[in-house]
Amino acid sequence: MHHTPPADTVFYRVIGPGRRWSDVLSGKGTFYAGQKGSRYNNLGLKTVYAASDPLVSVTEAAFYEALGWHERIGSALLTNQHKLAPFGRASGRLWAFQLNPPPTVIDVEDPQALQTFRYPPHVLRNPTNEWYKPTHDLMNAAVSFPAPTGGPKAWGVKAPSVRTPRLVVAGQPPFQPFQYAFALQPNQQALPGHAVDCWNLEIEFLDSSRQPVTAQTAIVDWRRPRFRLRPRGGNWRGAPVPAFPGRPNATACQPNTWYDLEINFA
Amino acid sequence: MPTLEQTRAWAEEFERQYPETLPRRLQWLTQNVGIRQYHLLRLMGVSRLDAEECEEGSVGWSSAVETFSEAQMSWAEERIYQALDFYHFDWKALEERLHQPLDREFSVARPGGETLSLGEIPEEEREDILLNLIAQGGAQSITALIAFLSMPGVVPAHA
Repeated sequence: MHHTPPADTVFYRVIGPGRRWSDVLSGKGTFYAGQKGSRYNNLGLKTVYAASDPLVSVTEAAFYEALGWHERIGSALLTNQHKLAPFGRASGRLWAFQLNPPPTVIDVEDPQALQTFRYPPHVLRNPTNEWYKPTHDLMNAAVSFPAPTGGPKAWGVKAPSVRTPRLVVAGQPPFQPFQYAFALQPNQQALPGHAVDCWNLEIEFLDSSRQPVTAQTAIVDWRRPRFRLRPRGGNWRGAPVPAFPGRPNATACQPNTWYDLEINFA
Repeated sequence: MPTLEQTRAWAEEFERQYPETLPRRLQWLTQNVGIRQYHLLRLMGVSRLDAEECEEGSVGWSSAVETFSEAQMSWAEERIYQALDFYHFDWKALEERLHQPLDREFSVARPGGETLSLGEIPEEEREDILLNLIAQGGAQSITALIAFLSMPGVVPAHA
């Protein structure tokens, strides 16, 4: 149940503009989140969420992007609704980085973890984005768990990405996209690591004909937005994002090209 | 109707201007977004009385930020960053929005099944209600934050 990502793993994470490289691995965004925390960390535990599959990071970001649009629509006066569309934004930043070294974590889908920490596996996929008590408990148990004899202690979890659909390909076992929640150790200011690349991330929600939403749109396809990566220039190459090797039929993401994405809402 | 290109331009301009250090970020928010020091201090957990004194000038802002913990400042900055995000990092739009109190748009459910718009709630209660909603996070927290930041007057704590 202990899992250490290979040393050469490239991780991905999406954060907003104005945040620097030093913010990417600080865990502050989740530490200073609202009282309810994030899925695997409650207040008081600085945590860096990251994925080795770039589509997981983009999908998780797109889910929260959708929630942002739902809130903008739901909180605006009726007379202001026509000002909101189209539902696209170009404010995300996708960072690629390596950790030196990647921390060991508990793989919470491992049968041994299910047995050791005694929880039904469905709690890992609870679609709520507000109520995280059991996964907070699980994270706390994971980082309190003693190191195995001769092995490193776990500082975080490897867990299914709730927002990224499971892939079923004929003749292959189902592929469950996953992410990491790396907990910072006490007195640690940031995870040690270095940036590899960075892109601007654009996400756009479309209508049922795959056209940009307008003030006349009746149905917004919230489950299937499209995304595009744009090179940032400066120190960043903005190279194509390689396909995650574990994902069936995965392809590299070329910069300046739109790709469809699927989000699990429930 | 912001287009992708507009949101890109706003984010890039924000990125160019937003300072690197936390105290300078807070200062930038007061100078460029029109966030009042009083509101920022209240978000940091400073009492109403102390926040009033700081805003009145008896406590200098630059020295005040040195006395607060990083946790207090980061928490407040993270909240306002979320409001900027809500406005696609078009901080001028947020600043403009803060000039219009949400007295009618924001409503609060009360025990007994009554729902009151913010403007109907006694002034001395509004601030605490909003700060609690902001601190809880979740669905209403961003609109509560915008409602809080757009509150025009300070209710004197020592009145």
